[in-house]
Amino acid sequence: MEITIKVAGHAKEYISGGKSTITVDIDVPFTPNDLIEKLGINKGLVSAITVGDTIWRWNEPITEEDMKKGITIISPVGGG
Amino acid sequence: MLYGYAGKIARINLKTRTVKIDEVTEEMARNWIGGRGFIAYYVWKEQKGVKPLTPEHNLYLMTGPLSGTETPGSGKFDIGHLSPLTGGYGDSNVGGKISKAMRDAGWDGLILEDISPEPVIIYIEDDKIEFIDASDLWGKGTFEVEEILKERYGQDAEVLVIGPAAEHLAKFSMIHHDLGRQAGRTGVGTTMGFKKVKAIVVKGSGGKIQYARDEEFKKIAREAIVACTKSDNYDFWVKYGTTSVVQWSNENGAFPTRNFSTAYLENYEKIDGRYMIETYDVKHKGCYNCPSPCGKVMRFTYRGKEYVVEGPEYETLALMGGNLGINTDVADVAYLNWVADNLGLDTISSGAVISWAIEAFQKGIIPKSMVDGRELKWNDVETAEYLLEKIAYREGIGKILAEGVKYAADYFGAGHEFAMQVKGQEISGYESRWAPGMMLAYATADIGAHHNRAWAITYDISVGHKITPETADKVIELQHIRPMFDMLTTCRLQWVELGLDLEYYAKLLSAATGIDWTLQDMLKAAERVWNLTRMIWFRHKPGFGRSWDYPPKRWLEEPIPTGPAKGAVIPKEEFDKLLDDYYAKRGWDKNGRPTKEKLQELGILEFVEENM
Repeated sequence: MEITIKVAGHAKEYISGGKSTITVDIDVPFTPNDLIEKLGINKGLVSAITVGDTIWRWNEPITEEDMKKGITIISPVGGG
Repeated sequence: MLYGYAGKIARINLKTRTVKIDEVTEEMARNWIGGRGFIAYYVWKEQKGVKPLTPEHNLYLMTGPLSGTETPGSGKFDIGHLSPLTGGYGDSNVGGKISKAMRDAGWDGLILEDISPEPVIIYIEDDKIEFIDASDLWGKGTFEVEEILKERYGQDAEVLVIGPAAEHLAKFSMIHHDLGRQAGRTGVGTTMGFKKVKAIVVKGSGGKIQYARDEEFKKIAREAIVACTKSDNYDFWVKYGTTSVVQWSNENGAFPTRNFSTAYLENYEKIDGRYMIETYDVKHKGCYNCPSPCGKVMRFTYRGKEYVVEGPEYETLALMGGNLGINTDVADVAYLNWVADNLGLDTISSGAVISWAIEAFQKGIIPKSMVDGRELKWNDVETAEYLLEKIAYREGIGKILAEGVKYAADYFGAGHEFAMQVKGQEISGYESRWAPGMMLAYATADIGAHHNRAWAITYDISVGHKITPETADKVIELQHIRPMFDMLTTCRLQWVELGLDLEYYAKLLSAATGIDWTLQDMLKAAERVWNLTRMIWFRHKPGFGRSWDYPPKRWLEEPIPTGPAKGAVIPKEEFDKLLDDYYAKRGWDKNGRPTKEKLQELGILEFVEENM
């Protein structure tokens, strides 16, 4: 399933080429770890993945119902 | 008229109970900006030959030109001195409302000289500065005293207070404010306790400071506030504050665990932000004019009694949580947070000292007879509480531990390799064996190990944990940006967490003062301060130089044994090369001393040579 995810914070340049969203084709349900692997991004540059405004555990499944709340990749805090 | 400043600093002699006024000059403003800049300037100018905890040892409490203004996060206040913990330069900032009150009262700062003959409250209300007997408050905890003083002087009175630890001169005592904020590092509370100042109470009627271009200043500030609230990180940040970093830190193998013996805490989810927010009654709290409150005030019941504590924030979760092996429940950490706050101890140094003591006990360095026949254990709140009390009151083993982890290892003649400190100050919450930039930042921080000076860890991640030709440059860049906020005395988190453009600060400073500041000018001023604080170390610590710029052996010789960063270590030879590069790029010699050429370039050669 193709889904669009928001990317927030300083490390957008590393994750989504500076864009605020990124699209990925992934089987649902999936975990934040699955998503990171699918995107091929450095996990260290992701401070959290949120569903709605809640931090999701790395191995916690995200369902279609969860996806309605919106998924955001939060980049690690700050440039330093 | 000096726009943007009150124009005066109160020089308070505690022995003679007299007050003199120092004028803030345009030269001071242009060279040192304020806050930490003013502190470094004064320490260099008037503390030559002075040892910490002597009558001549001063404590400097400073605002900056953006303190207490409409600037986002302007509730910061900087306190500094020659550190009784390290003997070198030290400062620490505290958020809240005290800087606003100071500026409303018409003061840019205070200089505390000499020692009061008995415990005292310094009461400031606009131009009036009074000395009030504090014998009835001596010995009481910080929370109780602040509440008493608010009751006595009104809820609009802002209070700085020390706890019993500072009264007993534990060397990493803090200054408490706003029922949950602390100037925690370098023993600023110890110096205040030595002077027998139990509290400083400030009330101001306002209207004392004029901006050069008032409308422009307020317009820029409003824009900056809006930019913060529109950040796509905003909701996440406000909900979790720094508590979210626990998960990130563990997943990257950066979480201090059992005295930094490893970097991943099993079952960390029980002390992280999500668990805390979902399990407990947590309310948001911010400093003066903060658009993005990071304070998470947690209400919890422990051993049948209800507590309210601001925090634990990330550093406390790391040092009083993971580093003590605590993974049972965030309430365990919150309780220790409350105990340390009430005693007036820095949670970062406390966690590092206690974890060293547990490891030293388990390795047979500390005998059971020195700890009242107890077992010192990981993941044991009672062990930590016992040692906090001993340290605060300097009883038994506490007499040794209250001097800091470096002294403790020296005292026992063992355990140096796992005494997690640099320059005598305990390391804060980031494992660095896979992060060379962060390791360099800790090793070269100008108050001893502290992340506040440069948080280079995300740079390390972005370049694959390697030393690159730019690693030293990045650390230097951050060592100018972050301390710049302590000169303005504003919060750095709007930049760090919400990405607020640094150019805002140059525009705000220019509009406030009427001096045309560029960001590069401000960073040059920060570099000037960095070089001056380095010279303070050379002036006050015999033999100071390169050998003081190393992390403990554990980080250079022991690979991380478990977790996501398993196997990582940075050999000394590699770190040496990085340090060489850092010195060269800073314009320092091979012993890490600023060269005359560098001091000349920064315009401070004459000032340095006059007071060397």
